[in-house]
Amino acid sequence: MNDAQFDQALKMQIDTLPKELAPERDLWAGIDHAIERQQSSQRFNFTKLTAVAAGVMVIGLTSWLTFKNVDLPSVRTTGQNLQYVNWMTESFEQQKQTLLVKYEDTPAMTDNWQEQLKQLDDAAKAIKKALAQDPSNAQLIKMLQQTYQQQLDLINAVNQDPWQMI
Amino acid sequence: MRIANWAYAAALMVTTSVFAGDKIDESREVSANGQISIESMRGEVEIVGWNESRMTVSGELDDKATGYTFESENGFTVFKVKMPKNMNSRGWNHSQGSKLKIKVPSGASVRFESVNGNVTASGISGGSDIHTVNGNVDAEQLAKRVKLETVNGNINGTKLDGKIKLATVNGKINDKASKGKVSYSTVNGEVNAHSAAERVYVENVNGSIELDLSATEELEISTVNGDVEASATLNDDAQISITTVSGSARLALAGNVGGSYRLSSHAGGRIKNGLSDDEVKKQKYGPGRSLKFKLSGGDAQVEMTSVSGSLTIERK
Amino acid sequence: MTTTPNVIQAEERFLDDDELKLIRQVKQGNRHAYQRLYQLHCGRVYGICYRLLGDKTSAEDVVQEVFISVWNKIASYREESKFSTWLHSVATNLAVSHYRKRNTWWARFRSTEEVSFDEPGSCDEHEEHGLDVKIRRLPDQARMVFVLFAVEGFRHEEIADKLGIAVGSSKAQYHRAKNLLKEWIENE
Repeated sequence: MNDAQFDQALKMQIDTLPKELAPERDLWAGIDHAIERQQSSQRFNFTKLTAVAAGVMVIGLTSWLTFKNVDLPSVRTTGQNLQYVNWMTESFEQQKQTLLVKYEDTPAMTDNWQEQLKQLDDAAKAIKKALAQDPSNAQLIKMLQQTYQQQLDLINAVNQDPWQMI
Repeated sequence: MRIANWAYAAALMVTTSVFAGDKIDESREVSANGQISIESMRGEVEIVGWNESRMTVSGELDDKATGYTFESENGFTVFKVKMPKNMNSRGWNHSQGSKLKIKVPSGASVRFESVNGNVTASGISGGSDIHTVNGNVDAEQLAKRVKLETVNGNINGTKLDGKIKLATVNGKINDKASKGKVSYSTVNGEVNAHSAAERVYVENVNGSIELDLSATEELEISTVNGDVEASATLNDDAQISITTVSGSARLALAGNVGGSYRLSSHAGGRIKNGLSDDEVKKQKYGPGRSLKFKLSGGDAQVEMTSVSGSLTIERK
Repeated sequence: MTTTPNVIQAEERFLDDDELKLIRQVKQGNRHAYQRLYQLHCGRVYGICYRLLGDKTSAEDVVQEVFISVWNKIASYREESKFSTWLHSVATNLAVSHYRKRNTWWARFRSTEEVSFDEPGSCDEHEEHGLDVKIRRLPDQARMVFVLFAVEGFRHEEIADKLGIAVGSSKAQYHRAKNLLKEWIENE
């Protein structure tokens, strides 16, 4: 057949192509799961969120050094600062639980991570105790945020299945 | 990998099948400053930069290897030891892994990934991104963006130059004669560094931190229980922040020390001032102590904070 | 479909109203409503992706990415325009983007999977439209251009822009695709 004929035949064939095709498996579950995770992780990216809220620069395990002399805005009352710390702690606890559940079934790459988590947790307690005495102390708030971020980073770092990694 | 065109795939993807523990001695012409990706799941690998526009791989492949890929096109080169799909994380054994010596053009940028095994890298000036999970990373004379990471293992660096990140979870970090910007991160492990880097960032939970810095512009140290011994010669307008929970911190300074100083502890940590005659103030009702003073002649900002650890500031 | 144009329009309007309700619910974060919306549109989205990308695994991935992306951007969807138009354009763009990412030489070799490709007969091939089978066999870029031009109706300028190639290349790839299809059809 010549070109013109072929073009026409092709067009006819294209016109009969089904616009809709059915995927072989159910894709909704994955979508739903991702959306749900996003909804709960809006609490995560912990450092950015809380840093924005506090006007404090936070340094996490994976971020680069950006040092700023931090002073919390003086308009905050002691009550507000304590409230902020409580909110930050609650937010972190939720996020930590989410991660621990996520990795429940994967074997960890180290055998002392839970112990290390506890140490960071103990450190957080000590810092919070100091904060109770000095709630406007920006350095202490920064230290607290850092122990939280370190916990989350540690859980992520040791719980990826290494054989899937490459 | 999904490639729709059979012929293209066949031409490009020459996978060589091997028997276990096979020797390998291969060479490819590669771009002098291209990108190189190396994957070797298990075993010891040595990567060395050299002056040729060639990449060579020699040694022995993993006992369980099913083949390897070694191809280069358009400035991208890949070498990968192919392993069976269902390797699990149990039952690995160092002695069965690959033993490879790989030479790459010194101008290349190299990415290396492994799971079990030590890696040595040297003489690569285009950038290095080296990851293993269980194993040490030893690096010498790497430049540009340098990222060395392991989970269980030590990292040793010598003469690294550029934007450097050394990270481990359980393991020590040793760094000598680095330049540029450097970040050290470990959870359980000591950090020991002699560096000329202007910007230094250190983070750990347990383990001592010992730093000897010769040209400090920015220094940030964060530890929970580790003891910090840092000595730094300051550039103009240096900014230093040291925070510790229970570890003690001692900072010895030389160079441009003029500026403002703020040291505070919150639950009984002692503060010692060896830089000026200013006195440490104790909280009236409470365990906190603080020390604030200024030295003339500069704009440095130095801040040290602890919960219960002791703080010392003094001259180098 | 043998119904008259008027009935079709009426049906579409009816569906549009229902759909608008769903979309408003989705904007409020209602995941059940979104599932319904997904069910209404996933066939078409999958059709676009599968035809463009040529293999079902990539298509499945992209379909999910599309619906996740649309969920995230739903606040920016304006009700004056047709939802399906917007959705299909997101799908096309994500499929093209997936193709561009996966087709860098670097990406191909970084994959840990064995070389594989949807083999004839691996998925309900006897139920697949004959032309679809041949389209899948086309070389990647030729297929992308062919589907975008001849099936989805984009102009060569638009295709060139999406794929990051010259307009001339788009036309050349289209002709290449046609010639291959012609050869295969003639040799059947």
